[in-house]
Amino acid sequence: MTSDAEGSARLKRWIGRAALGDQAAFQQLYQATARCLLGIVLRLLRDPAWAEEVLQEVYVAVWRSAPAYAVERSQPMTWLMAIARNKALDALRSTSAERAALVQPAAFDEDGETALPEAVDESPSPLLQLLEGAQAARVKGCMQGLEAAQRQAIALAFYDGLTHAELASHLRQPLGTVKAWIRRGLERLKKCMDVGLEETAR
Amino acid sequence: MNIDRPELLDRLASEYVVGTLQGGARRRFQRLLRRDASVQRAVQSWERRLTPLAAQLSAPMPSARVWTGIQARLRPASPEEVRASGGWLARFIGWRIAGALAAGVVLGVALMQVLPIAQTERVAVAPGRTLPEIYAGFLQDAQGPVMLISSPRHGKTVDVKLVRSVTAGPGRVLELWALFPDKPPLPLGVVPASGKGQVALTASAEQLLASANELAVSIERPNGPPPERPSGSFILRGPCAKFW
Repeated sequence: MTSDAEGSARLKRWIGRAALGDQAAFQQLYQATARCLLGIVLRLLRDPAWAEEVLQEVYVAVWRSAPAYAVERSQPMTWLMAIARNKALDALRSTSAERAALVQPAAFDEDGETALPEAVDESPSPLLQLLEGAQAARVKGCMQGLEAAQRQAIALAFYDGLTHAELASHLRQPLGTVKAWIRRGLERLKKCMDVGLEETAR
Repeated sequence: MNIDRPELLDRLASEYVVGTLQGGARRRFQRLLRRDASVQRAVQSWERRLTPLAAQLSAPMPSARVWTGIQARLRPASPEEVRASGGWLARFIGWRIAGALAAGVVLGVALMQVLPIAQTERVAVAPGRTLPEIYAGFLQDAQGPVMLISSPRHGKTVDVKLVRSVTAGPGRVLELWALFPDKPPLPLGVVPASGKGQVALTASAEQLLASANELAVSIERPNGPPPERPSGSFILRGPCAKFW
């Protein structure tokens, strides 16, 4: 069983070596993280072939920006996942006009109570182990503390990549209402998480 | 896009990370993100908060053609890309030296072979592109590269960049040394606790490093005068090279 800290240190080492042109280390980084990053990209794009195309762009971007990765500023898994999300969102937004009519968010359930996917706590993926479990638990806890409408709007935007307009049409609410849910939800989430940080530091 | 108001910048960063910033606003924000440190900090804060939500997503291992495709697209970045990424020195040294180090070739020798040697103040690396004259060191331990050192030839500072984390341990500091073939090691200064930043020199790099053949790091007690010799063995060391 690998601890979070060891997993994180290993990722940092591979990124550091990739920054120096070490392709073997980069392949190890790919092997350890590809399932998680594909999961993120696939959830946003919902087309396996397209997701694999974009995943290639993700890792090419990781390789090129590895020299600029700053250890002290972000955890390696956060850095990798952010690159994956940004590439997938770029791809999604470049064709959002064509797909606007096709939106069928996976996260939406019948009663609209929660759009959060269930965590697979019984068998956490290796990647979940690599990520600081505390941080993931904190953001999930704070998400649960939001009003249901705010939580659902944020989750649909974050996991499924819905735009404000898509959210409004999907949730059958005025655009302004949906925007306010997202904005206030994020403000509350920030407050909740920053309080959590102070408590951890104490 | 007005990002001078902190609360507006924070909101834009949050909407960028959650994904609802779109169209022209998203592209403008991405342009700011590339060049503005305050925008980068705001985005990183939100990535720290929100990105862990995505950790529970997982998919089967991608098909083999994905890795094949990635490999085909890996190549040395062009000078423009490297400059844009902010890691030009690491990449610059990395590409030319990683292979040589693996083969056990001395860094300085390798540099002489790949760099056009000019007697001018700056070295041309591509038409219209120049690099400043620097001393550079690439410090390793048994597991491989750890620290990248660069110092302007006529300046009095050393820039330190970590490629892998290193710590001195509680109540200790990392001391940077210059090693010479014919005289005792010379202490250069204490590496900042974070392992990244600048070390101030007592004289110009040219005066201190002209005849140095290696740079090294040892663990020392803080405070007091600079040590005369390392109190233990060097935990990191590597060739000291001249880039001009």
